[in-house]
Formats: sequence, C-alpha cells, structure tokens
Amino acid sequence: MNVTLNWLKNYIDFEFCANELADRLTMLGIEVESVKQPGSELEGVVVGSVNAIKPHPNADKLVLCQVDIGETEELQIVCGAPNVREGMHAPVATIGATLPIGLTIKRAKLRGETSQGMLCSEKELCLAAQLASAYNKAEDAAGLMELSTDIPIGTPLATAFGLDDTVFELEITPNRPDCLSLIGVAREIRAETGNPLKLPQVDVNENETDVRETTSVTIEAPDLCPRYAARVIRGVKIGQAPLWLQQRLESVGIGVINNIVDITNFVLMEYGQPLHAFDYHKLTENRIVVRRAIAGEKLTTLDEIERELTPEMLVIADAEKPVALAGVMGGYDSEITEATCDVLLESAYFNPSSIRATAKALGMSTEASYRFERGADPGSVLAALDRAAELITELAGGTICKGVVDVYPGEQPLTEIQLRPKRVNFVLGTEIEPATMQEILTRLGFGVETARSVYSVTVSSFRSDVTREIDLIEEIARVYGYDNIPTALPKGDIPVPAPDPKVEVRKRIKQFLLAAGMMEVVNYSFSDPNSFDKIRFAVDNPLRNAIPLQNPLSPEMSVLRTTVLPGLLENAQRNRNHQIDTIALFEIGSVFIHSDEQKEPERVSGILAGQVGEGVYSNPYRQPDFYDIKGLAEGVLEVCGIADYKLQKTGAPTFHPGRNAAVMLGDRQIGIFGEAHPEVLENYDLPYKAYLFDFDMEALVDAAIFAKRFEPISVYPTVERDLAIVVDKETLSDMPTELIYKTGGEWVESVRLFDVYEGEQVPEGKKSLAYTIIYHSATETLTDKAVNALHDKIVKRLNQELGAELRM
Amino acid sequence: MKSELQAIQAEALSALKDVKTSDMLESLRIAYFGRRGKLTDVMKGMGKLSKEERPEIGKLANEVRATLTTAFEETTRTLHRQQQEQQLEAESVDITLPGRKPAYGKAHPVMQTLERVEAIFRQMGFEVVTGPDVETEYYNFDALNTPADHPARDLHDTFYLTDGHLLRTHTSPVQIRTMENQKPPIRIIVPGKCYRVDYDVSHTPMFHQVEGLLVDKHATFSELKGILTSFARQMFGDQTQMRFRPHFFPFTEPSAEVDITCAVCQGEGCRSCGGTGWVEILGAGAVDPAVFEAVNYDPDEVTGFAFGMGIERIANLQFRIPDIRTFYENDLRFLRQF
Repeated sequence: MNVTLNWLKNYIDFEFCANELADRLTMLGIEVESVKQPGSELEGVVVGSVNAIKPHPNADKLVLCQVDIGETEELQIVCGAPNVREGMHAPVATIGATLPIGLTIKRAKLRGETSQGMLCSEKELCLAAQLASAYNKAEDAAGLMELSTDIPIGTPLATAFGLDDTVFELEITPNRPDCLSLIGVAREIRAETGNPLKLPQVDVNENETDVRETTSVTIEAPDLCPRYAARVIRGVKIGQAPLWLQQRLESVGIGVINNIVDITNFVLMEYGQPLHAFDYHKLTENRIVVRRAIAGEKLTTLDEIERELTPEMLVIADAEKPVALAGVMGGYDSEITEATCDVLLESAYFNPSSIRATAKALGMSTEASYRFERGADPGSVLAALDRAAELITELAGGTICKGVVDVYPGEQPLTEIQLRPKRVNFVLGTEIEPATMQEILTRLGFGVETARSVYSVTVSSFRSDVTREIDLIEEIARVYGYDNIPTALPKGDIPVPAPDPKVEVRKRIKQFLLAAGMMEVVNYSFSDPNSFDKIRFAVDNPLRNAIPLQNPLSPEMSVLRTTVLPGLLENAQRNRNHQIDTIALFEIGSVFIHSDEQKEPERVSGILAGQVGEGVYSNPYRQPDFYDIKGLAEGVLEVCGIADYKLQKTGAPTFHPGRNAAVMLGDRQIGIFGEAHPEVLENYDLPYKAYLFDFDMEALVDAAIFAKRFEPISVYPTVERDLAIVVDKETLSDMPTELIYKTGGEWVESVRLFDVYEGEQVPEGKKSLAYTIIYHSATETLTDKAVNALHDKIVKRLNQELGAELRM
Repeated sequence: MKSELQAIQAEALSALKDVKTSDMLESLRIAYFGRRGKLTDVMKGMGKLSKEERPEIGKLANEVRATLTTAFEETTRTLHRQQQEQQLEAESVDITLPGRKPAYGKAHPVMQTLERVEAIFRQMGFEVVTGPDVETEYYNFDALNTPADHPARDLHDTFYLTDGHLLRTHTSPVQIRTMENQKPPIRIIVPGKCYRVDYDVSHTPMFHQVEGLLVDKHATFSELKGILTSFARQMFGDQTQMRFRPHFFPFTEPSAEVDITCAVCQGEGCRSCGGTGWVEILGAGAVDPAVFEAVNYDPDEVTGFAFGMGIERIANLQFRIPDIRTFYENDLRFLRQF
C-alpha cells in the first residue's frame, strides 16, 4: 500500500523528514519498501504563459515565443510545436532543468536566435502514466502540453500536479489490516510520537426525508455479514472530482473515475473501510438484501465480466437479483453513471473467510476484498459512511436523507485481555516499567485499566488481530523498540543429543568423493516422467510410480524424482553441450517413493564420463572405464567400514549387461555401479561412455562400522613372492585370490593382482594372471624354506582346483 | 730420505691440483699409496734406516702420509661435489611445465554455506535434525498457527501433491515433529529443502532453509537476539551490525525480521540493498503459544524462540550471483568457482 507524507500530515502532526519517517515505520513493523519523490524529476519546470509569438527569421517551422514565467523579464523561447499559440499555458523547462528523458536545458541559439528554455510536451516530461488526462487539453501528445489557465503562472509543475510529495510504499503484514489506511498509519505514528490524531471533522447535513422511507436493508446471512449500513443521497451531479482529490488518489496509485467513486476510494484510503455506491434507481424496489447467491445465479461485475455464482458466495442483492459481489466488486448494472442522480451508499463489515473464499474462487483481488479478507473494522463503518456522504454533498451536490440504515446483527463486545506486566519482561528478557507499558498501549488505542497488578486491557475494534496476552506483549515490544531489548546468551541447559550415524556416514562419503575428484551437484527434487524411459526403466519398475505434483511449473518438473540418475545424466549432457567433458559428479539427496508412509530414502549417486585427467603434458586425458567407477564404489564402501559385500552382475536395463555390478550384503542390494547402457547414452546425447554408481544411504548407514581397534605393528619381516599363472579366460580374477588366501592361511598377509594378460605367449582361450603374495607371521621370522613350502602348496592347489598352470 | 719425503709431498700436492676426474684421482692414489706407490716405497725403506735416524724420519713420514691422505680426501670430496653439481645441473627441469595435480572435487556452493551455518549453531549447542520434504497441511500450516483461510498462506505458493500432501514451504514443520517427540530443553537446527511455486532470477522452486528452535523453562526474546547476533558475527564478520525489525509470522510472537549491514556499501546505502544500508537475512521470533498448544506443551511452563533463514540468500550475500537459478544448473564452470 502507498501513502504520502503530505496526506499523512492531515491526520497527525510529526516532525520527521521522509527518510526518518520511513525508518520509524520500518522499526515499528511497517516495512517501507521504497521512498519516492515523483516530483523531483520535474525540478526547474514551471507553468508559463505564451504571451506573444513571432516568426523565426531563419526557419519556417520554428517560432519565437515570449513566455511569462512569473519573473520580471519574459523569456524568449524557440518552439517548433504545431499547437503553440498566444495565450496558451504550458510547462516551461527553465535553464538548468534536467528533463526525465535525460535532456538538460541550456541557454542556446537555434538558427541564430536565443532560446532561454524549452516549452514541453507531455511526452518530454514522461507524465502520461502518472497523470489523468484532465490536465492535458491537447489532443496530440507530441504537441505542447496545454495547462489549465487556473494554475498561477510560475507555479512549479510538480506543485501544480500535486507531485511535490513523498510516496512511501508500505508492506503491511497480513495481521495488520488496520494499517491499510492513512488513519491506520497515523495511529502508528501516534504510538511513536504520542501526538494526537486529527480525525476528519464530519458534519452531515441531512434533509427532511427519513432514509427508512427510501430504502431498507435485510441481512439474510448474518454469519457472513455482521454489519451493513447505508445512506441515501439525492440529487447528486456526476462529474469529475476536484483536482486535489484526484491528485491524492493518483499519488497512491488509484485511478480516478468520477466524483462519487473517487470519494468512496478516498474514504477507503482514509479509513480503510471499503464503500460502495449504487445507482439508487437501478435497485429493484430500491432496497438491499444481503444473502448467499443462489446456484446458477449470474452477476456481471464492474469489470464487465459475467461471473457464475455459487451458494457459498455472499451477494448484495436488490429485491430481485444480485447487484454486487459482497466485499469484492460492485455490479455493472447498478454502477454510478453520468445519468445517476440518487445514490445508495454502502458501508459494511463482511466475514473475512467468506470474502477470501469468494475472491479466491473467482480469481479476483480488489482494494475492497484485500481489506475485508484480512479483517476490516466494524467500528468504523459509520464514520466512513458519514465522511463519504458529507464529501459527496460537498463535492457532487445533493442532499443526504435523514438517518442511517444500520443493521448490525453481529455486534460483539470489545475484547478484554488480562496482561501481567511481569510476564512481559519474562518473555522479552527486559526490565520495562509497567508505566511505560501502559503508555505504549494507550498510545496504540487500547484501553488500559491498571487498578490491579494484572492489567485489564480493552482492544479497540480496529485491532482484531489482538486477542491474547502475547499479542499485547508484542505490541509493547515493537513500540518499546526491538533495538532497546538487551542481548543475552541462553542460560538454559544444553541438551546432549545422541550421535547420528547418518551424519557421520554422509560426511565420510562426501569427504572421500570430493578427495577423489568428484564435484558435488544439487538437482531439483522434481523430475520429468519421461526420464524413466530415458534411463530404460522396465515397464513394471515400481520406481516409475512417481508422486505427481498437482500444480507443477512444467511437464519436465511434474513428478517427484524416484532416482537421482536422470538428474546426473542431464548434468553430464548439459556440460557436454558446453564442451566440458571432464565429468565427475555426485549428489547426496532424497528420492520420493509412493507409499503409505511417504518414504524419502536418501541416495548417494555419481557419474563419471568423458575423460579423466587434466589433458596436460604431465597428466594426459584418458577415458574412464569400469574399474574407475568400481574404485569409487569400493571407496564409498571402505569409508563406511563395509567389507563383507559381494558383487553380482544384474540385468538392470539402465546398465551395460556385461559391465555392471550390484553390491550385495547377504540378500540385500545396497547399491549398483557400472557402465550406462548405450541407449541411455544416446538418450542423453552423450558421445562417450558414462559410468554410474547409486547407493542407498540407509543401507550404508545400517551396515557401516566405525569402531576401530589398534592392531600391533609386527616386528617380523615380510616375505614377498610373485606368482604368474595361466587360467581359462572365463576364470574370475578373485577365484585364484580367494584360493590363495584359503590355502595360505594366516601366513598370507595380502594378495595383489598386478597383471592381467592375454595374447602372445598365452594360449588361445587362456589368460595370464600375476599376483604378488606377501607372507608374514605375527609370531616368528619366516624362513625361505617355510615360505617355499607354502608357496608350492598354493601353486599345487591352484593347479588342482582351477587348472592353473605356472607361467615361467 | 728426508728430502725425498718432502719432494714426494710437494709433487703429490701439486699433482692433486690438476686432478679433474675420479679416474685421475684413483691412478694418482695408486701412484703414491698403491703397493708400489712412491710413498709406500719410502715407508718400506724405513727399515734400512739407522736407529738414530728412524724416529725423526719416521715422524716426518707419518706427517707426509697424513697430509697427503687429507689432501686426497679433500680432493675426493671436491670431485664428488663437482660431479653432483654437474648432475644436478643436468637434471634441471622446466618449472613452467604443468604439475600433476590430483583431481579434487568441491562441495556445491549452497552446501558449503549450509555446512558453515550448521557448524556455527552446532558449536552453540544446537543439534542438527531433519524432517521429510513431503508434508501434510497439518505440519506445514495448521500446527504452525496458520489455519486454512489464513491470509499468510498466500505468502507461500505451495506445491500440492495427492492425498492432502504437499511439499513443505519451510523447514518449520520439523519444529512440530521434534516437540511432539521430545521434552524441553530443545535446541535444534533443521537444514533442508523447501519448495514454493516461484521461478525467477531471485527464486527457485526448490531452495534450502535452516530453521532453529530453542525451548526451555525460560527462553527470552533477548536470548534470541543474543544467539542470532553471535551467529551473524561468526558468519558475516565481527563488524556486522544487526537490526531486528518487527514483522509477522503466524507461528512466532513477537516476530522479527533480521537485517545485517549491507556488505557492498557497509551500510551507506547502495543499489544492492535498495538504498537502505540493510539486507534481510532471516525471520525469527518467540514461539507462539498456539504452537506450544498444538504439541501439548503448556505455554505457561515453557517459552522458546525460533528462527529461519534461506541458504541461497545467505550464500548469495557472498557470491552475488545475478540469477540464483544458476545454483541448480550444475554447470561445472560455475561449480568450479566456489
């Protein structure tokens, strides 16, 4: 909401300059989002009168104007506007002025003739958006802006247009509808300064006709309309509102329409009370019925849109039909037109939830609905009605019928709250004097009864948000000033939380992957349902059953992800498209599984593609392969202390059938890694192989072992023996390894496969495997003889069980 | 014999000066100390000397031998040093050739920021807890004193799922979940992903928040100020000034928005802080009694405070990324920068 400095001063006195006021309001909780001086761009532009025109001696299209700007000497200004004429009043940019279009006016000679300023068009002053056309009588915006001769010559244009004011853009939080008005903001300034409010003096001059003879109000839905008041004004003359009123509305961004509607908007801004004016004669039987709409009923609202109504919606009806959508927008057929002479003026209080539901259902938000749905003040219904009625007779003529029709079935006693001054200081950690509390509450408009140690506080009708002691404590705190509340450190006990193994596992894995050169990514939790096809999920894969969003931003983000892999593949694709081919990424994040419990298992997943290395002389690029991703997967398991897993090839369609491995702990698959299937690569436009790993975090946490115990460092030397054997090509490399361990018993400390070879010197269908075996005993120095005997035994066993031949 | 010894010494010392290689040195050593070496010969002739001559000549012979041995050792060392120098010179490398740098990864910038925030609060005794992203209306709104027709719901453009579920719009539901399962004292922070229907240069539909909650027999608003001031100083530097502004959140009262001095202009006012000199970093407040009632705490027995901050916003105070959607494009040229 916008308010202006000058307008505010009508309701309260204060000494603050614009920036100071902005600061104070902000620190009271009314955040000032911007402070603007719309007139500052018009500095140096004044109202001038073109007193005489002479032809320009050297140019056909230019003339020399003698212009009076209220100074002792007239100015000579060269002008080329087609509509310039003697006697015309127009804006004059004087020497030194900088126009909003960026032009700075200098004393100049145009074709040899001096020009001491510039006569301006509306366009040159960038005024079109800010001002009503009322000021500009010129048809052509390119021509000079013609000003009303009522404005004294020499008046700064900003003053003439009411722009020499400061506009504050306020962010009013949803709990403070009372601040959606100038008087509301003035009340906050009263809390800050203690200065009294200057409320408009309303003096309603009524005629002899009793309003009850002219109309009646029936509330059929008192739950939705606790109060409805109306006045009837006869004999008004519809026209333009006076300049000052138009300027006020324009200064806060409200468009002008006609005098009656402008007055209701003006009073809305003053009191925060939405009003509506009906053309009295368009109301069947000239009466008002407040009721729920009947199913199928239709109403064309002021914006000329026909609305379909439902029985949940409250309407203002006449004897026959809806004439307004209560609290939201008036009806087109009963609006004020130039032909209107009698007006029925509505001022009411509607149930906030009902207005909110109606506005939402119809997708409408108006100044009225915005206030009603947050909660207007039932207590200012009459004050606003009288103020508007008086302004109408003052500015649009007519007379006010005697009395008000005020139907108030929902009248509530004012809320009373018990306030314990001690509690205020207890909650805030302050030592505020009770007298200060009383002063603050009084300035805010609360009634405070301090006879007992527990105060009794009466809440005015405009503060519907204050219902509890804590609400009063907040009021005291914000006016006392948050800055004045001391700073302390918590005195309470520090709870001792149980260690969370998940935090530890996550940390270790992340450290490892970062150290291994993987970059961490974070992808959206949203996914494209097509991605399941792109990663070749089987038709019956339960992960295809992703949770859909009811209001997704786009089809590509329309379900919650059930796997992290498509995100990683998209990241690879995106980087590839930008010629970045060293792709090593991982993500630790949740996926979302459809189930009764809405499970959100966390995954640890990674992708390796393109190239590894730096591509420099000392560290050339190479393509990653299966054993790179395997090493990463093994590292993840190792940092979790997980050793007793088995690898098993799977038929997972995302992966190359011969190059993938599930990580099994007993029967439980805790992860998978391998080369992406060529079709997956194609689906993500990857011109090279990509390798993926994907672990279930929960399974890793379950299996993780962190307990470590010291093992003595042996004093006995180790003995190293190499062993090269030739086996069938199909023999898996860990079969000899396991056999070596098994045969060697506790003397075999480690077995390391250091070479795999097929080709020359190795028979067809065979391969050579070369191992280094480290022999060691924790209790003695092993002799060559003893080692040789064991080594021979191992060789023999390899031959017997795997047909391995020793390779010489 | 005396003159002979002296001549050998002079001759050997002079020869040593011309030695250029270890081979030359070795043949010279043989020439003097070898089985048939000149010095060896002289030593062998000692036996033939008279009793009177022997002590004097013997002494001289030993002196010459010692002098030459030292001289040979010296020359050996010199030669070795020269050879090493030559070798080192030959081994000189082009230090401008690229190093073989082990690959290392970097945590995502949002995660880096999140981890810093977590570390600061951990050190102040806060436990890190998490909760689900998929929430119910109850935990996300109702239990947080935001009933269905509350206008504050307008401020959260919520992603709805099926069966009354939604994507949490803040990490505050975890306050409720924690208080339901735990008795005070409570000191937690809740990092996590949140979601709102918003997508422009300063909004992503998924973002990260850290929520904090402290509940005890007597936690005060001034302690909230203390905790957050300590946090801001550690996070943004000890010169950081803070400002607590009254604000509105349904689940805290009194509520505040917290600003810190703008790092770009040091509080002078500039374009990035909208001329105010302040930048908003978080929302906070004392836990509203209605929230305590929702979790069956007695608001007369306990008080507490809560705060919540957007991590992308905090991260961007430092990084100044013009379009925060860049965070989730995962472009390596971007990720490598942090």
